[in-house]
Amino acid sequence: MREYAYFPGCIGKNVYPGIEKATRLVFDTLDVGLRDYAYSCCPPPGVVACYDKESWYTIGARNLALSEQDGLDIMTICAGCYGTLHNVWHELNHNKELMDKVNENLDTIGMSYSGKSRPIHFVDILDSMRDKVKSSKEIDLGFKVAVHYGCHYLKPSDVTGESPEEPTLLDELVGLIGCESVPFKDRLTCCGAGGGVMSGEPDLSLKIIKTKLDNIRKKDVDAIVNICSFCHMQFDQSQKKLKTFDIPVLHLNQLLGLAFGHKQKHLGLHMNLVSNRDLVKKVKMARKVSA
Amino acid sequence: MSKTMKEITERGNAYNCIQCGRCTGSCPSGRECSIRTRKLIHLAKMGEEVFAVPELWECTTCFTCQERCPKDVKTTDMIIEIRNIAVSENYFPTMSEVPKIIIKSLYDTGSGQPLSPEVSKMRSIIGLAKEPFDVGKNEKDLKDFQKLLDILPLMKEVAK
Amino acid sequence: MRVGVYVCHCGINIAKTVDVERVVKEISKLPNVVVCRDYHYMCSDPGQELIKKDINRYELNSIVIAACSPRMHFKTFQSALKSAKLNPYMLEMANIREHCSWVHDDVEAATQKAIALVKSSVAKASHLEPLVENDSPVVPAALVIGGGIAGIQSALDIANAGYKVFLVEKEPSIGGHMAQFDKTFPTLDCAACILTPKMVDVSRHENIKLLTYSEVEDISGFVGNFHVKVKKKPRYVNENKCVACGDCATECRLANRIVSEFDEGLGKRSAIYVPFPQAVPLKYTIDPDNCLFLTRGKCGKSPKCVDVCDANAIEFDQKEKIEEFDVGTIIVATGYDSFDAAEKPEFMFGKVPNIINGLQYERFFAPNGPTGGELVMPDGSVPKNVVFVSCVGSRDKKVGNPYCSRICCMYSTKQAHLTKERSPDTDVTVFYCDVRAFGKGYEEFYERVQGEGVKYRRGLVSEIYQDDEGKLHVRAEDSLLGEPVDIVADLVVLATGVVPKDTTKSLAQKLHISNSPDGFLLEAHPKLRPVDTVTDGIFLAGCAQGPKDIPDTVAQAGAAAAHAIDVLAKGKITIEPYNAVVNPDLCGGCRICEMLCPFDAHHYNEQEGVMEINDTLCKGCGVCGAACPAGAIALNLFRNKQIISQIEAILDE
Repeated sequence: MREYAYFPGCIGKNVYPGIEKATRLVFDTLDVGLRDYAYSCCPPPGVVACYDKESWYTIGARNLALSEQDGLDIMTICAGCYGTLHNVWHELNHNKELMDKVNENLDTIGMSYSGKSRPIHFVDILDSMRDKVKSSKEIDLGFKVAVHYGCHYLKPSDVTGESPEEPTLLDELVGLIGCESVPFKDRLTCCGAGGGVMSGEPDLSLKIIKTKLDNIRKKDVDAIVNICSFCHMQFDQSQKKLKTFDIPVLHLNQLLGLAFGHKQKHLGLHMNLVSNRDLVKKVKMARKVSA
Repeated sequence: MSKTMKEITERGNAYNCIQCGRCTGSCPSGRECSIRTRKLIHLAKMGEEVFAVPELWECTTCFTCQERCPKDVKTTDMIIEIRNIAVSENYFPTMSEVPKIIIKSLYDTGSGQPLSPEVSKMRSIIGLAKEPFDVGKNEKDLKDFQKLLDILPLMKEVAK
Repeated sequence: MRVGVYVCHCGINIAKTVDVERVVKEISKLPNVVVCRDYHYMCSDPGQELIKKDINRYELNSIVIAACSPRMHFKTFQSALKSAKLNPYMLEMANIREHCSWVHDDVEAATQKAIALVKSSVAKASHLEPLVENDSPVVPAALVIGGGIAGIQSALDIANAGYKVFLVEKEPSIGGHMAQFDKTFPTLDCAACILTPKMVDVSRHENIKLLTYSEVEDISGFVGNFHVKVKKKPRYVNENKCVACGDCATECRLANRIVSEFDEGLGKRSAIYVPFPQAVPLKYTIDPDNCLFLTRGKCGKSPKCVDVCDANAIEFDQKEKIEEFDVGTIIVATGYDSFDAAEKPEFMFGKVPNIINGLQYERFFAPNGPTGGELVMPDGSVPKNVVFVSCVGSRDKKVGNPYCSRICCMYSTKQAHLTKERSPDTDVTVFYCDVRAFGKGYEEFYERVQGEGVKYRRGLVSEIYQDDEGKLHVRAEDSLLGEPVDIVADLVVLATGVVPKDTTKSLAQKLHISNSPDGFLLEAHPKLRPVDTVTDGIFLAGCAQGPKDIPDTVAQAGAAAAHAIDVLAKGKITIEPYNAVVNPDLCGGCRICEMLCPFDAHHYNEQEGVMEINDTLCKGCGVCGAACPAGAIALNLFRNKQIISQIEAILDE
């Protein structure tokens, strides 16, 4: 059985725990083990890296170091965490001076990191088990969804190894469970929350997400599906602040959870500020049809 | 680690910039407000005090500009590093108190977004542990974590 | 040995840092040195006279000149030796300028170093032997690879000088990319009108043998004597019988069903075709990848082309032929390809029909193009907004092309003009970074086009998207206004740059020439030898060497022809004896040297069981000499005895 160190991130743990529960349920169904460690905040690239990069690398390295002795790679469910941990891993493996400085810092609490433990975003793990994902599907949801790739999973491509202008993974993954990814204008644009903008420039953050929501609303979608807890929070909270939108927001693991037949309340759909009631009705219909 | 404007400018390949504007044209913030990535890089090249420019904080670090730059200028990396200088020089023009709160929460609990009693209750309702297993759960882990933070420049900046 | 030593001041270049008189004093003490002098400029006439007089007066048989780098004046001093009737290889130069006075400040240390260098040269000079320059005959013919404007020009120039030329072109017709253009900048000459007379000249020239629809398979040999193998692809049409009436193409079952390469994918042709009506030679060709008879063995009851051809020219049983011949020189004029804009996915090339590249737009305007020269879109409408996107695939490290393609600014300006000419009400915007209008009349042309109302917005395009109504939007920053802009466009033209043809690398390997880092073919010197390669007898012309416009291409083609004629006119090649020599008594025939030689200069003599070296191919690189386990290979002018004596002279200090 495959096993990963599970990095929950703050949002999926302390703000939208439905994402954490959905993750545990889905990966259990897929027969993948998740192990917990005494992780801290990743820390966020927006707030912490912009304050001081050395601190960012050090705190990130501490997180990476925790699972290193067990030889486990680390699974992230928030692209912000992925952006941090993957960048830290990549840079420390290419910059000896930095690695030494970070280890000098970690040494004060008796820890060290050698660069082995690698962060993987959960979508890449799903990508490597497409057959299992497809065969675990119990309900043909038939949803039309607007997928949101976000930024840090794809860019910068010389570090992530992805192709950021024409990604297809997310469209294919939702396709595996019977959903249709609907194209919409500027679908690859940032949600506007990162870089400390959500907390530091809230008006700008809302402007950016409003443009995105306007574009999505023009298409008749059942839900917005994301692969990042931070984007999830942005899509959900902003609709409440803007008051003129009510498009359901799902983390991909929640969508998968629904497709695998898990109960919606276990997936924490009711915890969103934007009501998922209509979506839940659609799931009940789809359940009947698939039975 | 690049500490000075000159080091950041060199490390970021900014001297290769031809001011083509592909960065600004790609910027999601630039469409909604006055940040012009191209200008920031030009100012850096000219040795100006970019860290004092308020638009510096309007970047969401989406990396689209860095992805598309034909001259391999590390635009986003540079903005992040210039922000480091701004912080140490005390330039937070429109920064509200929220980021400082996040960092303080990071220190006190190990998470930038702390766990509230309401969410804790929700966690147990949906079948998760009331308190998640993280650095904040165990007192020793948290103390060690704070010991680490104590020696990092981050906390010194927040303390100001 | 009777050695004469001459120490040059080189004005103050040497004398400022090296105490020349002291050097003379020290060197005069050496045993073999009969005379040692200094002079201000050894390379001057009086300087050379000094040497000549001394050779006669003192019966000198070996000369050392302590001066600048031998790359500067070695040949000059060799002439001096020759005119004094001394073998020109009894000469050694000590570089006390580039290797000494120009790189040191300390006079004492520099002088000591100069003395050591000259001592070392004197030691070598004492072991020199007279060497003979051999001659090799030159075949009075040239091969030109590539039948675009560069190849055509070179071929005509060489043929007019009276030499035979083999012009090999891989497409069914010569003409290259220039045949695809409508008008040329800045004069707006019709491209076909200025090109076709030259194409016809080529076909009619008694000295030119035109091999179209052919490719170079293999080349062996060396300057003066290249042996060439050319693969002639079968046209499946008898060239002697075909009168190009065109009935076959009209009747072909696949008439107008196959995407036309000449139209850059915008037009259609039949399976039997000529690429364009002015093709040279004007003979039909059957496309073996699409023709029903050739791919399936059957075309209806019988192939239509066979039925309608009055001349009975269709011959499906034709086979590939190899033609072999010898030439004295080769000119490589294989041209360029357009950058594939699909490598920039943010520009959506290939996703919608109204985003096209520069060559495709050219076909819109060409009278023999898919729209007959009319500015109409596939749906029949005239575009109301045309946007040009500059620097697509050029000046772009992300796609591995850091260079500027040189021609795009000008061709965009030309195409902007042509757009306005066809439809003055159409809004034309050019998004640019720099407008490179470097040539004669170019800036004036740019100004004229601006005056016609073409809008030049400074800022490279970031992305193109399609809105919900299917309209194209171009996003960029107008950097002069400092504002992001979003412009609607009916037609977007991507000014794609120039990349080396995909066959360039394999051709370079066949010819033993190099590529520059950007993938184009490497010239011998970027400033002073732009048409030569480091391989003697092989020259470059046109875009194969780097992006350039038509005037530069034609000029370079003429230069390449002149250099080729140089070789052909001399009739023989003088081979300098900087080569390796095998001692057959020591050679064991292990053939290690043959495996290592980058120039294929080694040949195994089966009968004798020893290696022989072709001194025309040998470049004296020394690899074989170092590798030979029997020590059977020596390098002229770098013999062990000579080098060891140099080392000992230096260490003696």
